[in-house]
Amino acid sequence: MDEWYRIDNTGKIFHAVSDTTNSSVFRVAMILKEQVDPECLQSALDIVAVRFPTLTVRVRKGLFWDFMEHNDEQLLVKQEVDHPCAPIDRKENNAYLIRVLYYEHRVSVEIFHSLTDGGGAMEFLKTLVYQYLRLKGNEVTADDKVLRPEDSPKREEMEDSFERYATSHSVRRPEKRGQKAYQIEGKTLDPPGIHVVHGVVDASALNRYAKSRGTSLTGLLTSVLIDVVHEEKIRQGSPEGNVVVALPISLRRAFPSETLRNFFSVANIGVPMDGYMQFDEIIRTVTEQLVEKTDKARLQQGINRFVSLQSSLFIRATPVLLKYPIMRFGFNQIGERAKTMTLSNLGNIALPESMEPHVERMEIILYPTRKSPINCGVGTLNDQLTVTFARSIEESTIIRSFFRRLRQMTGLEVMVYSNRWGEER
Amino acid sequence: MNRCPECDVMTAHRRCPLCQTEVSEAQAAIRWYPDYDRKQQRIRARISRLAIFIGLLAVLVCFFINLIVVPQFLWVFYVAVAVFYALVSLSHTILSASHIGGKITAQVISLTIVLLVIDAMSGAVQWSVDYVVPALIIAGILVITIIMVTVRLKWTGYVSFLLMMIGLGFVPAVLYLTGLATVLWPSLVAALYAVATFALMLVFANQAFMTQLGRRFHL
Repeated sequence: MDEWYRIDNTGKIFHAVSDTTNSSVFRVAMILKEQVDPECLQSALDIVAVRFPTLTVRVRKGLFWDFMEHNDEQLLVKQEVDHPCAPIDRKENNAYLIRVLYYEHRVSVEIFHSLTDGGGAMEFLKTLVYQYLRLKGNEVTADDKVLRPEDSPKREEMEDSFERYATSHSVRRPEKRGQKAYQIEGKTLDPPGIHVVHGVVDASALNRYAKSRGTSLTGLLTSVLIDVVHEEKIRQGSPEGNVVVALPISLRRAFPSETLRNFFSVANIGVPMDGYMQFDEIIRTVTEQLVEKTDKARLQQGINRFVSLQSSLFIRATPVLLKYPIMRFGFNQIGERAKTMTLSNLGNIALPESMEPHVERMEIILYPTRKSPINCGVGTLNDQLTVTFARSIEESTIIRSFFRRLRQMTGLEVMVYSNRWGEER
Repeated sequence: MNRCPECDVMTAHRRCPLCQTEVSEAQAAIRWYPDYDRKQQRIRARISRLAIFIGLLAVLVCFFINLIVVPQFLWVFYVAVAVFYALVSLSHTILSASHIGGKITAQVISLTIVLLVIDAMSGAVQWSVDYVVPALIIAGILVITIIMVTVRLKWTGYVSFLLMMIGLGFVPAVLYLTGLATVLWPSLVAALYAVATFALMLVFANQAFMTQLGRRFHL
């Protein structure tokens, strides 16, 4: 097999911007009811790897763009020893940009963002766990909710959906540079790494609470986050910039794509607050912006602008040696500068009924970056919603305030646990 | 599970993960994550910074000794390039997990810089640009070609480095044309060797090499 793929439109950015302070590696994980059997997991992975050809690749260097080539080496499962979302060392990983880890009851898939987004990664994890459970002798069925390992990969799963859904390639005007957002600062963890803390809540009850406040789950969590970050901002003497939360939006909901590659947009939700603001007012502003910024016409504009920018011959014909530093500058000055932190909600992941008794819940971990040293990942499975904060700095007041506020406001039980990176044992 | 009186959340940890308040005297029965070795992690994080610091310190100390002892001859530059080369070799060639092709390319480039500085410092007789740099580049191309032949199925991983080295093969000719080098034949040999390697790849690995070229130059 000698397949090769161009890196998709979004993937190119992650390729250009990743460094030691921005691994661009995110994690999706499932906590099983039983201890993971590494040998069985390896057997499952050997089968599943073939089903996802765009994820089991190596990256090669090109003059104008890097590209991905099929990788013949075996992708090995490993026991988790390092902090989550550590940069992927290609030499230790047979040149793969994906790693499969196990620890006690957890199966984790960590992926370099160039390959896919949370949606694609989740499909891979679901199929892996499905195959693992089958090999363990469980009676599980795919029920159209899991991509079956024995099926051949479809062309639609490998497409760059940005190209497919772009309706115009001539939107030359770049997006207006957003205002500088308030940015969280802090002391880098010693040793440098990523501290994660997970909070588990009853998903249905939280959803009902969100509805009672006139918003969605994402709207509620974003509002609480904005409120607690704003409090922290005031505590620091109100430095410049609004609190802006960047929400990655899966475009698969608005555009019927089956792609397993990157296909998402980002909506920046910011609430201008000078001093105190009623929480109901924050919820109202956030919800309005969520509706407005996830409107299909607006998402279409974003796709067109994105594809147009990269289809310019001048940009395409610039060698990566020059292009990557420019992309890095643009990422920091436009993308990172305009947001305080990212909250990524993968939503309620539907598993076949036969798989549900074997899986406890899921976790999503989003890597922090230099300008966004605390990020938040949310995922729901088996009616358990897990909010995960990943931070690269010592300061954790925002995270503490978030969970305290959530508990206080909703009255729902919150169960927390962490990896304790950087803490004295 | 225990409740943290400060945060009002449940946790199985001995200390609340949010505020570090002790909520139980017993260690957590559930292991969520592995125990990290802080000491080892710290050493790993500091080793490269320490190497750079020691290197810079050595150059600085030599600089002051140089100024005090023989200010008319700045031998400190010899030390500086030696330190630069040692740092590249340690951090990239020895310790990093980079591709062997990348390590060879980095060695050729860093050695070229070292030789140019030594040549300039020792009276600019141009032995570096005239003879040694072309020879070094030829050696680099040769080593990568030998590896490509040896590794057989994995040869495609070396294509970009070979192309880079072939590109470097023309640098001595450019140096000659701009008057920086004065002896023609080594520059010419380097350029010819680069062209010959490229032609050989086209002849012996025609289809596969063309495919690789198409991928590596796609727009």
